[in-house]
Amino acid sequence: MIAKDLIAASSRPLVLSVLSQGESYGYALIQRVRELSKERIEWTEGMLYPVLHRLEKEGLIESEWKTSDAGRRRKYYRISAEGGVALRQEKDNWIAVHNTLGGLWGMKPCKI
Amino acid sequence: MQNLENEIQQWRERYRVNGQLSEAEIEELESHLRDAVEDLSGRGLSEEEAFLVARRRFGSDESVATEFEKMDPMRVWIQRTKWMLVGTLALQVLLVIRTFFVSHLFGAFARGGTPAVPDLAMAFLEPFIFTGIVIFVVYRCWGRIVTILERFSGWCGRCPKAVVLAAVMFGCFAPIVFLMVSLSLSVGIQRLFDGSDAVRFDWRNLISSMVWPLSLYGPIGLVILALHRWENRRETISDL
Repeated sequence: MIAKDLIAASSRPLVLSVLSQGESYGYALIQRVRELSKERIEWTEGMLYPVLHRLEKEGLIESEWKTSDAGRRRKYYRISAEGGVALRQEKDNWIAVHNTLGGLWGMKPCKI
Repeated sequence: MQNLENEIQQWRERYRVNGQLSEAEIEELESHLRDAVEDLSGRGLSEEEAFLVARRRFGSDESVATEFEKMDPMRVWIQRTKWMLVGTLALQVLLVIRTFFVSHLFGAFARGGTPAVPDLAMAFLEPFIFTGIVIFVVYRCWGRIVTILERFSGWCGRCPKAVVLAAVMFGCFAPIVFLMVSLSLSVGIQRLFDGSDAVRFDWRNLISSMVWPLSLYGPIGLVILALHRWENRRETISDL
């Protein structure tokens, strides 16, 4: 099981990265991350929504209420221009961490 | 289907009563819950089972609220301060009722000369009697009081400005109503018992009795209103 702290720390780049592929809503975000991580990262609602709201407050993502054809209302999130800049920075940082560990473990470094 | 709607309503109501989440946040969580129920129903679970599983995944109400609180601790304190002030206002109103109770009910009986109870003993006993009555009423009507408070805090979440304004107005004017009633009663009672006009019911009396409660409760009411608007403004930042 991945430690709670690591899950929390990676939530920001993960949200930004998933949203950079197109707008999405809370439930779909959790499903997508679970799928991508092969069910190793299981977000809870109590964790995800505060992160989304904080990112929104920082202006990195934007939200909008939309009604589906079935009449269901959902709040959709999409990445902003500022969010794109923040994501590039996040990528840079995470790859630095990744390459440091990879170097110690004899793995090839990766680049953006 | 009807059952599921009821369950979701109850679930919402709990968050609303809790008062820590804004209406928009609860709506978003509800939308999430419905997504989960739909998804799980699609995998062969009955609607009831799907709801139970989805709700369980959410964790307890407190844990979700605590996570939200971490994000915006200021809001929680605005709310707490607001409720403390609402309590203060309620206490003030209670004290006015008490004053009326003491000076006009006991006073009138004593002055009327019915039982020969010395004023000093009455003054000593009165706080005990009054507190006893309040405890008795609270004890007997506890369920109803809780319902009223829950409804009030739910209301505060839904149609805030109007309700708070009404509460503030009530806070400001309730003492005036009590004063007017007590003033006119005192005139009436005195006339009844000894035929004197010692307390004159004129405009000067009326205006002064209106000014002091306003100056007492007005500021508290305004602070409550300001806190409430501040709280709402903070909520709408994430709603827009």
